[in-house]
Amino acid sequence: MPKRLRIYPEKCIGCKSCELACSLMNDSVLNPARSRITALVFRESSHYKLPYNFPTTCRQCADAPCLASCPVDAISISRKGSRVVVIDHDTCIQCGRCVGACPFGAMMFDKSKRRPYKCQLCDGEEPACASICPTGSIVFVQQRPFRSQPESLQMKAFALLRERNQQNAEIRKKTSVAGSRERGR
Amino acid sequence: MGFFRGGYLGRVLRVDLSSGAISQEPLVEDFLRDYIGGTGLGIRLLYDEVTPGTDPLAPENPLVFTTGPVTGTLVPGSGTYTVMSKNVLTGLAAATQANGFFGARLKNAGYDAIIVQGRSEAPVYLHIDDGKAELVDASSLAGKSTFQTDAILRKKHGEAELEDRVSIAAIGPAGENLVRFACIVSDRGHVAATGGLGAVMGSKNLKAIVVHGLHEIPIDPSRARELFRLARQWRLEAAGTALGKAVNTHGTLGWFIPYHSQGWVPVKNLTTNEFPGEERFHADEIRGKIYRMQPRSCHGCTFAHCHVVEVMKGKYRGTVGEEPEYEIMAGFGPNWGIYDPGAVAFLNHLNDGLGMDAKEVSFLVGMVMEGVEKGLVGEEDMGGLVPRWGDVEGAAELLRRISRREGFGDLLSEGVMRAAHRLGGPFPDMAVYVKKGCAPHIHDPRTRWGTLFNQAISNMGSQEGIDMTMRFSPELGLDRPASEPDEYVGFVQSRTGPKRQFEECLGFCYFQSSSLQTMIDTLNCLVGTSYEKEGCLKIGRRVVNLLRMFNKREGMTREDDCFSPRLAQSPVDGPAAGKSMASKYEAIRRAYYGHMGWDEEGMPTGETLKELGLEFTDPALSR
Repeated sequence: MPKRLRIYPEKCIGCKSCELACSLMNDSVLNPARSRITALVFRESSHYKLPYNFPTTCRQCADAPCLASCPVDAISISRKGSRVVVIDHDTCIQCGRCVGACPFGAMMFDKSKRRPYKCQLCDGEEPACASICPTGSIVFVQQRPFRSQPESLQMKAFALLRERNQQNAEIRKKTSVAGSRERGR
Repeated sequence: MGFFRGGYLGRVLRVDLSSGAISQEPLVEDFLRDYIGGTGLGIRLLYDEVTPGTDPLAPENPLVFTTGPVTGTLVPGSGTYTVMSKNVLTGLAAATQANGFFGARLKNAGYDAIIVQGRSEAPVYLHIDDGKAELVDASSLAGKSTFQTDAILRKKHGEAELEDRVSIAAIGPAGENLVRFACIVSDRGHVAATGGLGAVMGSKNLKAIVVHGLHEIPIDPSRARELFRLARQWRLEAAGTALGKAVNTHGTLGWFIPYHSQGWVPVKNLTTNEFPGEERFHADEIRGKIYRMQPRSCHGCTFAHCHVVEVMKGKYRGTVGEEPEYEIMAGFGPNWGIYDPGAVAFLNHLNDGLGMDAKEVSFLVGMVMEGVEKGLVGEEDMGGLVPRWGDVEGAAELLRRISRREGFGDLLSEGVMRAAHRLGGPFPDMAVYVKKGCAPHIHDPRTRWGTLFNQAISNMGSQEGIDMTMRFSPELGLDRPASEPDEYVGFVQSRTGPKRQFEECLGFCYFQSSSLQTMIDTLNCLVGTSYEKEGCLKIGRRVVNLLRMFNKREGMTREDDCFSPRLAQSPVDGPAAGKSMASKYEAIRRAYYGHMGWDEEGMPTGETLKELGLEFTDPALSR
């Protein structure tokens, strides 16, 4: 089985070291905005009392939607080693379709170079993010190939249900508000 | 490119609030070479900016925010920034650090440092976005707590619900009302506490500073891999120290029980060392049963240290806030006769929101409660409020009144030393403070020799060196702990002070210290310098000496290097009963002065100043 990045959000402490490590090793700069991995920290809100840390990056899908979306076949799965989804920047026409196709927000776009970029597992070395992570939230281990379809459709299903329910709630809300006004009079 | 190849952006932002003028200046390279950054750079800038005798709350008093070369890099805990100004409590220098992300994002916003001067007519906040700075009206933020201010500004300048790449340092109502020990709170609960610099910000009508941007921290690209290797080495060493392992498992709360077994936990304003229910303060009990928690660490931290907690047990169930650190757990807990960690979380969140220094608050409220117990202050003095030992609501109301400078709170808002002298009678003997005029860190330091001495001779109110009462450091030539109150304590301070001050120049959290060699190698790789161990300790000594020269210029005397009568007493009970440093203090201080190259009055000698390149501080030498 190929080695992949495995992420355990519940172990993340929100230090964002992975972002800096990524930009340093891949682009030789220290800039979290240039990272291929993103560590999001959700603030405590009115719904949830505590914050939540969520690191995420490319999952190297076996059924990669970015690959399917590319009009010029610039994205491919490398046949050797970890079976990484890679971009051939010579073929790429910078159309940006892959950026929208990725359901996990893992296809980044470099504004200055005007081209997409993504995690390519540090081209075969131990990925920088996994080697810097202090808590074992990001690890580089052997695992089965990831298929994006189930997860992507699950996310869509939740969004769809939420929208439907909200539409129903809007209707009820309007009637109840009207009803209470009448009662008020 | 000049002296440095990486680490610094090389720019300072100067903001004159009186005229609204904002300008950008290059950093003086000699300052960077000789003082690196952080506290060192801050005191060097401050030394030139301050006219001796300036009132800390006058518009002319500058407020300096600095970072160091490693701030914002992969070095662990490198979100730190230093704030420096004249100390509102002591009138001398103040240097205080806060962690979180603010320092890193200040550099991402394009500046190594900010110098704020003058006073704005109306409340404003400073917004720095990717090199562009502007002053924005903040009248709608007046009276808001630091957490509310953070939430409003984060919503305005950041992404909704995310803590993403925006940092805010703000003052609370206490700072606006010029409470002498008001602090600056950044990133929701990381506090630049010492020295009342929140009041300095308040006196300038500056409510907050918002920083964000996409600036890269420059590095030498050919050394990227080497830098990664060294930073990783640093991180592994930092996580592997005794302190690192302990804080990783239990946070600083893990110290509670061991410290109590030494008699170092302050109980009832240091009147006793024993209290019931010690087991309630066991870290496993607190973290496992009383709090539900989620980590929210600082920039590049290697520990699971800082958490946001929800209280799950007791009267304050449902309270959400930053997990109290050991000092606050002790200061707002047993020190006030409160034995409920849930109540401490509530008080801590309230105090951070109001924006006050927990050190000063701990010993102030403790003193008032002791006064109530002894019948020295009553209902009529305090406007109907009588906080007794263990009264959580009374203490909370007292904090609110202090922050508003209301009634009795107005007197207390002057700080422990001034309040005690104004109350008169036995209060000056009950108060816990060091002679310069500020409260010490929240321990019972009377038998923790390193902490007590460190605090008494400190030049900026906070701790200057490292306590070695139970530890030692072969790296610094300290082959045994300073377990007895003798001259060795002075020698230890003369070794740890410069080391700690060198670390404060780099711009990272001191919990993340590795071996000195790794820190220096990383610094050299990043900046492209060739510092060596002795040279770095010399920089530390230069910083300590310049802080001292700054204070001497403000009129500090030898008597200021001492502590209050309460701290000179020996504990009456507990494991440390009967021990005291007071009788040996004079000898320890003389030994320390000697090792530092200072005269009997604590004044650096001409040779010392010459050796450190500080001739400019002495008119006789610089001529």
